[in-house]
Amino acid sequence: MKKTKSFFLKLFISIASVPIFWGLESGFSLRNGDELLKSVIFASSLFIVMTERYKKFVLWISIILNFLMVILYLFWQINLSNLFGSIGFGMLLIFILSFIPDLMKRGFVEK
Amino acid sequence: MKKKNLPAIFLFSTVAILLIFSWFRSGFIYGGGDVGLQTYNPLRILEIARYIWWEATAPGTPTPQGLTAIPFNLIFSSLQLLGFNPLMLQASLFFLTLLSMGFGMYLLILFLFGKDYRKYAILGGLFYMINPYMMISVWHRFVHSTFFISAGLPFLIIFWLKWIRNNNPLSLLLFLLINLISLYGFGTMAYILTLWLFLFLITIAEIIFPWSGFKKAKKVGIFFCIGFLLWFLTNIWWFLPIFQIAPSFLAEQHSNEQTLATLYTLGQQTVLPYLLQMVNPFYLFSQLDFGTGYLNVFVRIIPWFFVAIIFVGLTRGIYSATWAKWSVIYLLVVILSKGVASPLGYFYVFGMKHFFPLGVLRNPFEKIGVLLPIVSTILLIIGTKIIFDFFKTRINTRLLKAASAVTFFLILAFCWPVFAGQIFGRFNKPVFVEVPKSYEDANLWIKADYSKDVYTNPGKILHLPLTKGESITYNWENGYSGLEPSALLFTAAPSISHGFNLKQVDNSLRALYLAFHNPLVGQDTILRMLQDFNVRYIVLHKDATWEGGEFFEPQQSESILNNLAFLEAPKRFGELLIYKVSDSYFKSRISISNNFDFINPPEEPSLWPYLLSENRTLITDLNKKASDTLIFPKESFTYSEASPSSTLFLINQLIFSPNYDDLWLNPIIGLKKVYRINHEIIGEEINDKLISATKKILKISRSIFSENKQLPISDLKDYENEMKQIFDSNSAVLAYYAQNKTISNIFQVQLYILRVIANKQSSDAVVKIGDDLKKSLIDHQFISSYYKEGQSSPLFDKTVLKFEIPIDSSYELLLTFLNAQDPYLEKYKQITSIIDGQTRIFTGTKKDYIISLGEVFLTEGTHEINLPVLISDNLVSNPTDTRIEGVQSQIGYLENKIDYVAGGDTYQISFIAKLEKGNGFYIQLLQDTDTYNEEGQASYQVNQFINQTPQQDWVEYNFPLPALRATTKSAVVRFLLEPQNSALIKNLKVVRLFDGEILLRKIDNFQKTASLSATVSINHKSPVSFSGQLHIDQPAFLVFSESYHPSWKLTLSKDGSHHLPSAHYLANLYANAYFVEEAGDYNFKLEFEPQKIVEFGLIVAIISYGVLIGYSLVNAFKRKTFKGYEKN
Repeated sequence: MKKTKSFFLKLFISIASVPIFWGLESGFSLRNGDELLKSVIFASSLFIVMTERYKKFVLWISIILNFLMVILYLFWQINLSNLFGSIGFGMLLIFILSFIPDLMKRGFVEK
Repeated sequence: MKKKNLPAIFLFSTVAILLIFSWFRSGFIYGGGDVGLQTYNPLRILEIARYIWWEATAPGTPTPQGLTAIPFNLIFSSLQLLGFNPLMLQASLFFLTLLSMGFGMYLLILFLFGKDYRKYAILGGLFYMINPYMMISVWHRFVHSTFFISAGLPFLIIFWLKWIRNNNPLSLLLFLLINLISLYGFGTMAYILTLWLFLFLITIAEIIFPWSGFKKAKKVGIFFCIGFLLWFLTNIWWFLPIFQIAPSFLAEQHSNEQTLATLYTLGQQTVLPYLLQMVNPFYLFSQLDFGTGYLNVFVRIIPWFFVAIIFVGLTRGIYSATWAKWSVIYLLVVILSKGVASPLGYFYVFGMKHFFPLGVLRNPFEKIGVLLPIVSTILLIIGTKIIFDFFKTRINTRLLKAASAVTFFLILAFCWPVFAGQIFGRFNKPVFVEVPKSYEDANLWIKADYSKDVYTNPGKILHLPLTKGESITYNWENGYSGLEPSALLFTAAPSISHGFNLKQVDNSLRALYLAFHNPLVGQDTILRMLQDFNVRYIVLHKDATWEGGEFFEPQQSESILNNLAFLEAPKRFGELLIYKVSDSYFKSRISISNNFDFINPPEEPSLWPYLLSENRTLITDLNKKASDTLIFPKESFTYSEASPSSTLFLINQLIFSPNYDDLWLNPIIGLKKVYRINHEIIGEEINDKLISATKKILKISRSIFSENKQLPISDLKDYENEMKQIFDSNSAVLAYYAQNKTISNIFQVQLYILRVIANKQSSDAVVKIGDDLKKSLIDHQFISSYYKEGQSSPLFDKTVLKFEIPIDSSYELLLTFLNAQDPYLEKYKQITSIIDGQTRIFTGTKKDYIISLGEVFLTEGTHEINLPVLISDNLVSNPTDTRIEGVQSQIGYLENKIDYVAGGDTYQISFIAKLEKGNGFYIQLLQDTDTYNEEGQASYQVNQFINQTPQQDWVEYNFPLPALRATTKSAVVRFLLEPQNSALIKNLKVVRLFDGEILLRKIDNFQKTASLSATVSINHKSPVSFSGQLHIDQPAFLVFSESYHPSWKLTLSKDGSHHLPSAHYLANLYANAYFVEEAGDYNFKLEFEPQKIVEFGLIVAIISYGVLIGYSLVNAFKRKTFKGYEKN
């Protein structure tokens, strides 16, 4: 019961964060069409990082996306590179900021 | 200095010296750009900057941010007095900057991570000195405030953290002293925000990582506030004047739309792939300022090595108590530095839309990004340490050290132009400057000649050609392109040498410049303008590059100057010619006049007020109480008024053919792309609202007329709201890219529809919406005040002019022409006009360059005069309908010469085209002043590709061309097609648009004044203080020929009593005037009051420093005593 409650609470927070990410990303407009997609990805990342067990997935996906950013950059695919990079960096931001409670508690994250 | 740090300081000094030798090996200084010659003459800058009124950049401007340059110029002027030449001065500045960067970062790393990090600290110092950000955004950008801020930041962080952690007042004192030395950095005001943002971030990190309770938070918070308060008090002497004057100054220089457009444009350059490497792609990849080598994939991969190490530090650093907070700070700095770029960048747009002062951060990569090298270096060191520790137990230490060294040198090697001395200007064209010796000789000659007049009869130097902006190009031996440097090079007297990006002053300077190039302007007018601008000397720069720019040929000016009887024979110094206004013609800085015209100046005044008022002082009552003699329109716009029958036909088509909406609205739907390309987000939003509102009203009318439904109230409300939003924001942006008449036409259709709906439904609500819309359209200059929907007007295309009439009188309606060969003057012999809704036909008579249309009696209040849009006949010599074809590999083109061309003219072009093959064609405007770059590309003012497909039928085009360059004498319109494309062009028409003034001159009301007997003696104490004696035998204006500013205060003393004149007027469209109401003998004092704030601020700062020094000494003594006590 407690687990279910916690799951739905995390789900609710993630869903509620979509408009926040969308607002921060583009002021609720769909100029290029990818803003909403990014917001959903960030909200999903938020959901995952709230689940301790799968937290590292966000980091790994973020690293992979940032690696793709570099590859695409080297081939002058700046728009695609930026798309992957901004999603990757956004996920990394969510990942690291999710440790804020730990950092406040101890000043660092326990391995 | 601790002994252990000596090797480091030796290393950083050596690197800095080697770099300096490389940079200055040619023996020239660097200069130009938006900095000019900052280190050329510190004594002169000190002399100018110590006052917040910059008299030297005549006719004077308040420049409070210049105060921040005082500490640096004070130090460097001492070096100058010791005999340092400009090259030694610049090299010294660069050396100290480099050394401070490297050694400062070294000390910061030691402070943050401890003595064990000494080797890492050296690496960090080297990386901070030489990284892509420093190479491109600091050295290459050449903005000196950035040098100071990046050199000072590491030290400022160290002493701030020491203060916060140990609460030792000595640390705060050192923080404030470093801040004082780096003060030049705050000449870019955004850096104040940057510094405090970063100090705030690191203070918060101190408090919460880890959180040790409210007690610690409160303590750190209190010390933060004390630190901030003391910073504020010790900087108040420059801070207060800036914040008193700068907001209005900035608002005039940049609009909100411009700020947002800049933010978006720069946001494209600071996307993450570039930002993480700290490179500015504009200089590195677009302009290729550092050469084509940076396009190579193997070069472009190098920065990713350090980015990868930073990422290791970022992701692994969180597991260490020492490092963790820097990961969070790094992320925040990256998010803030990238501006609107994704991810999560919209908060900038939101902030700037709702809080204008945030506009100082419109270039976040430069303004906040200066923090990137700091945080990147810290994380690079963390990452390096983690990697090194990981591998040292796994592989051979020597191998590991070698690999690390290779990687590190590779990273530094990415910045090879820093080592090669190719960072200033383009890699193959450094911005070397060698000021010709003739400038010094010319200045010395003026100085000797002028010495007796400096204090009692001050005058100014007018430099020709006079640039409208702030930049100029000289063809000196090494060239010079950048900030106009005359104020720095001519120290004898203030220099009128460039514009200020301030409308009022720039417009009057433009008028002054035009006086020397239009043969229509008589000698009397030129003399009068020179007198009004207090000009004593004219320096003609024949070394100015004028081709392809905004200047007239210096030779043309020379021949005019040589024929002016009131100028003495010129002295020649190299390419400079110096003319002196004869003593008997020179007019003093402070003069008396009772012969004047009151004038209501136009938005962009030119020569006309001077020409029309003959030889009288122009006085503008800014409080609008005086009765003007020359009245320029307060509003002026053009639009087309469609006939009721054609509007009704259009509405029928729109209502009964729903698909016609998009076709009809296509001109503004197509603009969405243009707004987006130019990042005009406010424009795009309003344009979208106009499209949406228009479609809504069409939908409503369809449901009523076509589907016979009831009035949909909710849709009507939506429509009303949307229209309200359009007019509540800046609706003028709608006409940025569309013609005013296109937008006006859409609104007129809406008005007509509302009237028809109101009639059919007998709805008061619709009537009200229609009335509100009409009022908004009148207020926002889309229709005439006398517009009546459904009624025909005698004028189809009309110019609407609104005049504010101060007094019942007869007025003469005048049109002015600069171009003597106007081919269509005949048209004005008879003109149909509408005055306050009444039709009247005027008969024009031409006198010199003015057409008088006749007299009209107007009562006090606002009046509207409508005239037909004044355009010429078709000026294309041979407008035959033709087919253009690009055969095989040849391009196809058609050229049409424009007749009667004169520089500065504006034209409208129209034609219809059908494309047979291809995807479009170019339309180009060729002028005899076009220049060609090294690749042979011409600088056409218009070179526009027009998209069209063979599937489309004939398409009609009609758009205005930008004004021709001032010096253009012939111009051609060219259609150009790619090989194997073909098109048909018909009905080509190029017409000249009227660009003169339309104004009213009051009749029979010139000031009939008795001859004035007046004397003035002046004591020119400083740029902010004048005093003297004044005698007048009747009331008169005291005219002070410095730029108008409300803070210039005149105090008159007579018989022991003092008084301040009640009103302050604008004189001669730029200067100050005060009315002295009683005859008599006076002592007077003219002071620029904000200078007193500087003096007050300096006292506060000195006291604050004194208190802090005292407290530090007491504290040091106590600590020593306490230690001694503990020891005992």
